[in-house]
Amino acid sequence: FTMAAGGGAGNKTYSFKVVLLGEGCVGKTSLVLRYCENKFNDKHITTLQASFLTKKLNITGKRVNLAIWDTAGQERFHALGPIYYRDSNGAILVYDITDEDSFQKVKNWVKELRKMLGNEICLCIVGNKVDLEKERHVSVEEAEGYAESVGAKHYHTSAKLNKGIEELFLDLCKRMMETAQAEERAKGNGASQSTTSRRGVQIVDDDPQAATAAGGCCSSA
Amino acid sequence: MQEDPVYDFPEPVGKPIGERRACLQRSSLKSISVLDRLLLTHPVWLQLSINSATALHILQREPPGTFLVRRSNTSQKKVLCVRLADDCLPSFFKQFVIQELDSTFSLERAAISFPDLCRLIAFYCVSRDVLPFPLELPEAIVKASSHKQLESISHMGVEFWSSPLNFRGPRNGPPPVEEAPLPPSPTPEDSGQGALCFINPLFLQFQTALHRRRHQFKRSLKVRVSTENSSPFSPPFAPPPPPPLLAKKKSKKVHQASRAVEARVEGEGGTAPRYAPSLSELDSSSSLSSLEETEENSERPLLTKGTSNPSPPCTSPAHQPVSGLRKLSAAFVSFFVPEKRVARLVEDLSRDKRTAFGVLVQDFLRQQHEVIKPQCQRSGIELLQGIRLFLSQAKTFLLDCGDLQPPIETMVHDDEKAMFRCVLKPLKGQIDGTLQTLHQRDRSTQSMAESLAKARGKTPLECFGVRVGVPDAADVEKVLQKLALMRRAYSPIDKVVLLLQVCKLIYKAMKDNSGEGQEFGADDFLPALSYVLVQCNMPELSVEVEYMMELLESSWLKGEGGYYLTSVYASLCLIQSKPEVVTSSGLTREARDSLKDWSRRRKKLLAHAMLYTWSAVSAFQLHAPSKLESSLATKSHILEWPFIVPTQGAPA
Repeated sequence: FTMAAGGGAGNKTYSFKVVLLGEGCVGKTSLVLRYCENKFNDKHITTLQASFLTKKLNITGKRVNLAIWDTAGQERFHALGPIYYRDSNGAILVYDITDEDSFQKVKNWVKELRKMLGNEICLCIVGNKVDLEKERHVSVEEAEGYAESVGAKHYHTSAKLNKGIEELFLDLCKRMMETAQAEERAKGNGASQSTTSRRGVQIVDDDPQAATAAGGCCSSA
Repeated sequence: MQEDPVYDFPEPVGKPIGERRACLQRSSLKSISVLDRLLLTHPVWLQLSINSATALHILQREPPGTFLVRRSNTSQKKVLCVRLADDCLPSFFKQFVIQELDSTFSLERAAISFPDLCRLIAFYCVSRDVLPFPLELPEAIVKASSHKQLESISHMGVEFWSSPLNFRGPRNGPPPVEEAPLPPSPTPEDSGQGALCFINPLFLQFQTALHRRRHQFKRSLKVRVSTENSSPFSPPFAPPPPPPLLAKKKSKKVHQASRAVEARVEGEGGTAPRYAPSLSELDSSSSLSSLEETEENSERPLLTKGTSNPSPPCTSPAHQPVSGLRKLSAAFVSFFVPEKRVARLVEDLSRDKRTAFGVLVQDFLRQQHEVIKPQCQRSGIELLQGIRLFLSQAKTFLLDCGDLQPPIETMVHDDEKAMFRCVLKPLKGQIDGTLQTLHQRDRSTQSMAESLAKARGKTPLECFGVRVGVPDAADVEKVLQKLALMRRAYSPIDKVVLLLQVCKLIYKAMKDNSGEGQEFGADDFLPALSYVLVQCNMPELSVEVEYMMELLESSWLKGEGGYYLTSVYASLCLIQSKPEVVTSSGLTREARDSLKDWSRRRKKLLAHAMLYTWSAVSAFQLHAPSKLESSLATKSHILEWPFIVPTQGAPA
């Protein structure tokens, strides 16, 4: 039999690690709690801790286990990021639409993630608190344009109103599955049947070209 | 026929772990398994109708080890006829009765049975077990490189033996005659002694001298642990008494644990990697097998006696006639939780030098006892990496060689407790001592102690910006107890469980000191955890973290246990970073280096199907520029953020 760790094989369970990044107070904890809470609204919730959450999904007949890793967003913990996000399949970068600084932080993370984990990691940039539309300080165009320029997808959410969250995670899972399947195929072409090789350890490309492609647009933002 | 080769060739050095096919074959065997060769050519060796005299006549011209299977006219049982060495007394020819019980096949006096005859023969082509030496297929069958060739051999049937196809070229040497053929001893333990012809895939270079002949180990062999003992040829035997004491004492846990197992199998679909037990399910009564075992072992009958244990400690009649595996199967009956049963089965296999796995593990342990010494090791991580590599390879080997039946196989695959038990338990003391010395030698323990001392004088807020409730002195005392227990456990899984219990205590303190229903994320948890670790003042914790991180399988590290282990590691990095630059640079150079090593190792382990280069690895260096704070918002800085390596010259 084969192992279903990491990306997993076509008919197996996928296990994905998703890291949650964003400045303190942008609401990343409530976002993920909202997501996991809604589906698992049972007695578990009382003892559930929000730092690490899991979610089981069934997408087009494929089982997906999602492990969501929260990180401490305060500046003093910033350097610890790589310890948390290594081996991640996806990253959710949350900013507060009323706080431009938090959007700048997201850009930092994107650049860092691309540099560290390459293009294999699926990035989601999330503008949270759309219930506070009136106080918006980050324009929709700017945010969406930036996301597109770095190969990320942008989402508008409100943890308070439970808006856009389900869609965000579902979309992310689908993308991670595609990436895993593409990798699976690539591996198949290589004729290697090593079943323990896992996604999550990616090409960390130090090639300047790649770095430019991934993050060159930062400065234009 | 089968496209997928059932086994591969040995690639003794540098074969990435995780290659499923760790089994060894002699080079003349192409991609056709022994089992397939046997199946395809059974008209040659399976001669049910011939009598003993004919068998003798056929075999006398053959080299030792050659065999036939015929049916005895008198008993109607199948008989394995084996050619012995010429000088064997009373005859160069010996017959072994094949028992068929409950649709399993086993040799008389042997402990292991098989679902079919071919598998039995295939096994004895590899392992002699109760035979004087392993069976040998005719050279032509061994050397055949295609199904077609095998079919043409098969087509000849019994004629093969006298045909020119049956060439008897020079072999690798006769079967070992250094030991006398086994007397029909009633104590199967004896049969475990003497040289075996297994190859340890990891230590081929050491092994070649010892093992003059290489034998195939068939991947898909299914060795069934026989639960029967009703052979008329077996001496009377009383089943070993079940351990009632143990059973009573453990019954509650048994129940809990089996429930946990069910839940997991159901939840994960049986295929997903297992994560550490969920924090929400944990309580302080969680079973920590690696801490309970000391007491258990004294109560537990010794199930198997390998050659490492030549003097049978127990000579009572009740134990004498029963082979190790039979005893094991009796112990299987019902009292132990599945996980423990599996762990014991694997442990017993690992001590049984009659199995390839046992040889593998015992050789490794012997070799490690030599080299796990501070003077032989450059770093703790290297030491642990070597062990991790072996764990993976040995597990793969165990699963591939098929000594385990499917349900057990799955459990061993998903849960490494069994592997930890047979490898880490015997090495624990030595590993601990060596790691401690190494960490003192590179002054990391002292440096951690100094960092902890510096941080201890501060308030939680000063220290890490803790804004939530933190555990009081009594809770810190509880945490300390957990950590002390953790240091005693050999199993990284048990250590993680204790770590989770610590985290739970911290969450509880946070909750108790805050409003109802508040949930805490990492923003609150990480500072609180860091504060508590400072209060515990246990510099050795970094050794523990290293132990867990290096020895746990990477699928584990993605789960909850992995998350909180990562958090502890992150906290320790934070504590060790210089207070004045804590907000900007965060990590010490040591931390960066060790993280780099970690990632390098993970890459190395998984490199097989990965595209990566060393330059890529060296890019995985943690570096955060100092003075980041002030210039964070400026665009020029963002361009470089955050991995500008050159100024501090992080080692490549």
